Amino acid sequence: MKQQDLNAEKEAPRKVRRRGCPFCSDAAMTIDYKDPGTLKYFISERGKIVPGRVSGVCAKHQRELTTAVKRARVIAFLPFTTNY
Amino acid sequence: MAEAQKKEHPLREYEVIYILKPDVTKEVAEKVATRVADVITRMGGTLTRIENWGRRMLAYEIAHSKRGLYVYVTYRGDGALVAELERNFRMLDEVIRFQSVKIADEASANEVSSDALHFEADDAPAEEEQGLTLEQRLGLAASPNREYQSQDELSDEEEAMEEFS
Repeated sequence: MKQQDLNAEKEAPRKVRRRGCPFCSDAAMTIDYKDPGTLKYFISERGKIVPGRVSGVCAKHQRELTTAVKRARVIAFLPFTTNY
Repeated sequence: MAEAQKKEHPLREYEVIYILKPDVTKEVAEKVATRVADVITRMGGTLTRIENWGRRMLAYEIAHSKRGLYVYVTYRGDGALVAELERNFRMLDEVIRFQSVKIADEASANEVSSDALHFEADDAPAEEEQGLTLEQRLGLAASPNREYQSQDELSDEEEAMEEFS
């Protein structure tokens, strides 16, 4: 009983500020592989695609974003990796 | 009848971006553009847009080039045309990268403006512009001048050491 209380105390409620999907809230923001300026906000410094749970992008747009980033990489708008 | 014909040759909208070597001349760039247009017309497609996006920095080196001349093309055609166009790109040594993307399953019947079909190439920039690598411009790698300086610094230090002793 006591142990349970301690555990409950330990796990302080995390304050997660959930931001909405930027593509859902702003109709002017489109996903296009020819526009590396927008895509670069959704890749890490190493060039990795940022997960939707981090960036707040919804599942539908995250799928589109993933395809767009991969296409942009092929045509050398975005790097595959920065370590070369 | 119409349906059978559609199944045989479904016309779709495609776009393709191809990258030419940065040192291509105006004539070669235009020759490639003409060839692309020829292939599209020969295979029963319609060229709807061709744009010169100019010389851009590549995100990574392709065929030892850090820059590339981007050309953006949209056209209507069937799958065989895409394959034929890509076969032609592979044959051209000036084309270092290309990517075809389907933009619509149904070809639109919009009128094509003649402005969009005009391809204007520009001449290759002077050699000096391509002198320094990205690393050198960012100061990550030593440029020839800096190497010389650091040698100077080293000799100064050695002198100081000698004075000290």
